[in-house]
Amino acid sequence: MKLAFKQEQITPVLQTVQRVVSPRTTLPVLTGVLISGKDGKITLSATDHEIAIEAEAPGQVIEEGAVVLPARYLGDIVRRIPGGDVTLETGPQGKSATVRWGRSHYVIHGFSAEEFPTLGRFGQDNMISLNRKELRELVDRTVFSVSHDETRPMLTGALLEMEDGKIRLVATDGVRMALKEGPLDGADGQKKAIIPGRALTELSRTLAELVEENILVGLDGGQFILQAKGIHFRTRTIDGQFPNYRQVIPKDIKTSAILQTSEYLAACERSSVLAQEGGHAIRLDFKGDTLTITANAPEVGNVQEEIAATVGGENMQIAFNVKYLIEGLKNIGADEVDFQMTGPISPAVMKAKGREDLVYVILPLRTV
Amino acid sequence: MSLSSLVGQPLAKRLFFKTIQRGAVSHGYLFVGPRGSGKLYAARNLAKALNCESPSAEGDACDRCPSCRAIERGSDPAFRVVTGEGPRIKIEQTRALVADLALRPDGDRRKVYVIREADRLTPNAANNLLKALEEPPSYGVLILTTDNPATLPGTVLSRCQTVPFKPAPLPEVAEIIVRLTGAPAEQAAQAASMSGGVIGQALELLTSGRLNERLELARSSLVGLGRADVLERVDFVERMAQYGEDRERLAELLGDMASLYRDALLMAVHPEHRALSGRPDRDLLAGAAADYGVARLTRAVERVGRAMDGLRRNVQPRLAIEYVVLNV
Repeated sequence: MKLAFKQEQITPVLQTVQRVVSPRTTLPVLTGVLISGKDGKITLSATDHEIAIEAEAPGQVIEEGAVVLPARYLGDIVRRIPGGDVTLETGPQGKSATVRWGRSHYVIHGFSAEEFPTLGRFGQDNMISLNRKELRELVDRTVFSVSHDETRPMLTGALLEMEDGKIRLVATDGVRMALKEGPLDGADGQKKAIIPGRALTELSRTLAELVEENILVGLDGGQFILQAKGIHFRTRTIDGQFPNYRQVIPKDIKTSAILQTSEYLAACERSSVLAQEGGHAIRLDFKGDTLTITANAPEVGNVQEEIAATVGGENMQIAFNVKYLIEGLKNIGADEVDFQMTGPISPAVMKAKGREDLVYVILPLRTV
Repeated sequence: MSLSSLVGQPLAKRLFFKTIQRGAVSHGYLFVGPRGSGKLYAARNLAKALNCESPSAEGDACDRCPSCRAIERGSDPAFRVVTGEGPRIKIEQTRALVADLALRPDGDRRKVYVIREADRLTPNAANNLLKALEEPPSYGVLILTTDNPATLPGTVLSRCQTVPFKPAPLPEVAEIIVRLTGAPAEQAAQAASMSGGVIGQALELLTSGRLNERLELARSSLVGLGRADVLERVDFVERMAQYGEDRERLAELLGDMASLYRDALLMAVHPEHRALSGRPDRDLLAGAAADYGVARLTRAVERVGRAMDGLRRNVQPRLAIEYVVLNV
C-alpha cells in the first residue's frame, strides 16, 4: 500500500480515531489503527471491541492495501512532522510502514491488516436523521449522571428512546436521574437501547469535531450507529432492563421555587467547601421569597447563605448531597431554574424554567 | 480444529452436539478434568460452533468462516478467556467480565467466557460472578474450568452444569501425539503413559524435554529409596525440591511416583498381570518389589497419595517432599 497526504489534514482524523484505542488491552492488535487505502479513499479505523470508529482522511491512494500501526507511536510521530506532504508505504510483509516527509523517514512496526477484527456492518437502511447539536446536547446534559458501579451494568449507560416524534436520553445512578428530550422526525415505532457511558462521552467529543450539521443515527442488532460525512461511529449497547424512569419523576409537587441558576449554583459551591467535611450534606430552607442554605462542619465552622427565590406552595426544609445539586445546576442550561419538591424525604425535580425537555430528579438526604 | 476433533472425551463431545442441535446451550458450565485434558480446547470450539456462519449438519464449526478464524486467533469478542493474574483470580477481573458480558453482541451471536482454573477465584470474585452465572443475558455462556471442583464454593457449583473431562485411553493419546508431533511411537507411548492419559500434559512432557528428567527422578526414587539410609534420603529431598519448586511440577512428579509404586506393588503381588506384560521397565519393578515388599509398597502408595492430597490443600511443597521421602 502507498498513500500520500498532507500532515495537517490527516492529524485531526488520526486524533479522532486514536481516542478509541485503549492503551490496555488483551489483544495487541487493538492498540493499533487500521489504515487502508481502497477505491481511492484513505480510511482510518480503531476499535476496543466496545466502540468502533472509522473515518475517511483526505489524501491519495497510490497503491491499494492496508496495515495496522500502533496508535501511540503513529499519532505522536505524525503530529510532530512539519506540515506538508507525507507518504506512507507498507513494508514487504504488510506488517510495518515507512512514513516519509521531506528528506526524512520513519519506519514503524505494526500488525498485518488480517489480524484486525472485522468491524462489522456500519451502514444500514432505516437510519434516522438528526441535528448534530441537538444530539450532542442530549448527551452532554445527561451523561454525567450515569453510574460507575459495575455491579449494575445497565446503569453504567444511558437509555436512548426514539418514539412518537421524540428522542430521549435518560441516565441515572440510583440517587439522581437526568432526562433530556428532543424532537425527532421520521421515526416510526419505538426503539430503545442502553448506550454505555464511556461511548457517550466519546460520541460527544466526536460530534463536537464534526462540521456537518446533519447526521444519521440508528439502532440495530445490539448496536448504536452514528453516520456523518466521512465518519462512522458504532458502539455496542448494554443488555438489561433500564429502570422505569417515568415512575421516578415526581408528580405531586408541594413546593415550587424559581431561582437564578448562577446565584444558586455559586451558593451551593461555596457551601460545598464546608459540606465536604460532613458527608456533602447541605440544608435548604424555602420560605416566603427566600432560600436559606446552611451547612455545618463541627470541626471547621458553619455557613448560612440567603438567596432570593420565588417560592410557591408550602414552606419546605430539605437536605441534599451538594455534589448532586451542583452537577444538576451546571447542566440545566438555563438562566432560571424551577426547583420542585414533593416533601422533605421524597424526590425533588429541577427543570429549566418554563421548559419540560430537561428533567433532573434528585433524592434528598434523610437528616435527623 | 473443531469439536469433532476433541480427543478422548466422548461424553463431553456427545453432550455438546446434543445441546447445540437442540439449541439448549446452558448459561453456566463447569468443565472438570485434569490440566491438559482439552477443557479450553473444547470451550473455544464450542464458541466457534455456536457462532459459525456455515456450521456442519451436526452443528460443528466449519473452521473456515471469518467468525471461526477470528475466535481461533483470539481477536473476537465472542470468546474471552480469563486467567488468574498471579495466584488468584481477583474481583477486578470478574467485574470486568460482568461489565463486558452486559455489552450486546452483533445480531444473534453468542458470547462465551472461560474462567480458567476457577478454583483460584477469590471468594469475593466468585460471589461477584453468581448473578452472571444464574441469569446471564440470553447470549451469554460462562464456562469455568478446574481440576479441583471440591474447592469451589457451593453457590458456584450449584449454578453450573458439570461436564467431566476424563483421561483418555493411552493408545488413543499416543496415536494423537504421533500424529501431532511425529514423535517415535515408543516415546509417544511413554509420554502418554506418564501423562496418565492427559493429552496436553503428554505433549508438554514430550516437547519440553522434561519427560526424561521427571521419569528419571521418579525411577530413582523407586530404586534408591528402597535401601537408602537417612542421609541419602535427605540428599534425595534436595533433588526433588530442586525439580519440584513449582507446585504443579511437584504434583506431576508425585503422580509419576505414585503410579510407579503402584506398578511395583502389582509386580509384587501379581507379576503375571497383563498390565505389566511387555513393559520395558519390568526388571526395575521386580527389583523394587523385592527390595520393598508388599507392606512397604502399600504404605508408599498411600503416603504419596496423601502428599498429593496435601499439596492440593496448600501444604508447603517442601513438607510434602520430606513426608514422602522419609516415609516410603
